[in-house]
Amino acid sequence: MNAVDLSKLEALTKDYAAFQARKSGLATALGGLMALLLIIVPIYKPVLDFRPGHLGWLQLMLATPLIWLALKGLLARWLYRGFGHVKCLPDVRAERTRWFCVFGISVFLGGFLTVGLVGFTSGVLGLPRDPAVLARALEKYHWALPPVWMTTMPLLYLLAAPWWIRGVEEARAYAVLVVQCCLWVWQLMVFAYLPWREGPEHMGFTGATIIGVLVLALAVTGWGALAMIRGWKEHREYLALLRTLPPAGGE
Amino acid sequence: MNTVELSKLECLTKDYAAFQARKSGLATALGGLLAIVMFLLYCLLVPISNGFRLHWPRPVVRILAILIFATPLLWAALKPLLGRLLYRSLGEVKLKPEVTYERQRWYWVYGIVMFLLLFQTAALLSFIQGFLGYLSHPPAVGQIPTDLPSHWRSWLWVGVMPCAYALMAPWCIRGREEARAYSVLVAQGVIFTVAGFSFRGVNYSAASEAWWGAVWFILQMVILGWATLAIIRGRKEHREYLAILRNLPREEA
Repeated sequence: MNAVDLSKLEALTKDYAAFQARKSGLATALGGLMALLLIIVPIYKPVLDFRPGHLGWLQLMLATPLIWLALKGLLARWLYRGFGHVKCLPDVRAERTRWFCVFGISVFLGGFLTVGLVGFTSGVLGLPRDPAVLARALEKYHWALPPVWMTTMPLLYLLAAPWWIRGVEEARAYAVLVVQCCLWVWQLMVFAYLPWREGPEHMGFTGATIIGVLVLALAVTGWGALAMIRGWKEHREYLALLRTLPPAGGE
Repeated sequence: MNTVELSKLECLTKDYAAFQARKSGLATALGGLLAIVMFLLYCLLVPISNGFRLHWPRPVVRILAILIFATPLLWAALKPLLGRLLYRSLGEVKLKPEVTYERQRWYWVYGIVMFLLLFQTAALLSFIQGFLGYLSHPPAVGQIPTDLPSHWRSWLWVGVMPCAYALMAPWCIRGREEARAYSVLVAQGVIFTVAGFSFRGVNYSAASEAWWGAVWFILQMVILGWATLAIIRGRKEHREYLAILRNLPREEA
């Protein structure tokens, strides 16, 4: 091998190592697909119809970010380690960016829990003062209390983040999935505690809510499509990298 | 300058740079001092807010409460000022970036944020449990309207303060000592929030009160012990800095 070949091989090794350090290839595409599924599934399946101790659509939906993390790890092991384990040179800037992404997710989750707490408190404050009406209101809200596992989901999302997120693309995919799941938890946690009123169940779907949900669904659909394209492109980069490798018997 | 003197100067520069990158000197001591001040202010606040012998005007009580819960943020604001005033007398120097060090710093930030999220989750769960308690004890339902304003006041702290603490963490933590100081101040704020939380009308019992009192006392003793050590360590680090300045070769040499 001459100097040119060696430098070419060095560049290839660096690119290959990047797939083990921060690039995720098809895992990004899978993240996009899962984000789309989180929009499509609730349209066709009764996700809000859940019973304690029964594995329903809602449980599966809220576990999506964690399922994605697990599948991502498996995909990386199966697809992008064809030539064994390689370590990328440590990079302070990459490490800082990665942690900032995890920190951003944690701030969002903290903000989400804060909104949940304040919403819950204001909901309780909005309860009627007349004991008879109050008793009826409490009876009505009993079903709507979020189960313990749902309340601990934000904590689980953050617990998994720093050990599984490697690059910006992965952080973005994970953030989108977490935000979508949090919106579902929020729908169950906060809407029920809006100022109480007598009569039929108040669903909380105002004009602004519907527009907000539509805008969000469009944004997520757009991002999901882009993520699938980007992920596929990255996977093809990896395949190209394999093709450019010099044959084992080459001199 | 010969080689020996040059390597000595290199060593001194590294030590000096460490004060701008991760060592905090008197800021650690300030952290310890503020932990003690927080404790004393809280000891003053409890009898005042409960109207026990002392009758202070309501704004004073409120200011006192804000002072207590804003102490970690106050430390975060004062720390860079101290660093700028005390440890930059020979100009600005940058330490070489290190991945291991950066990772450690972020592990601390992550630990603090995780603790705050855990606290918020526990708060939400206990709120739900309290709500369920009202449902299973119908006579307690009648107490809700009278208890509500106090719940609101105490829960506003629960909701807002952890977010503010978490937001400040990556900007004010540079080294392990600073991370430890900030963690202790944040933990102190959270402990006082829990103590001030009054959603206990349903599950209240004298035994649980005694149990919580014992836990609170032990935690305070640990924090005060750490605060004393932090003051000593901070002062020692400050003296190290003064020694660096003394060891500098004179300009005319």
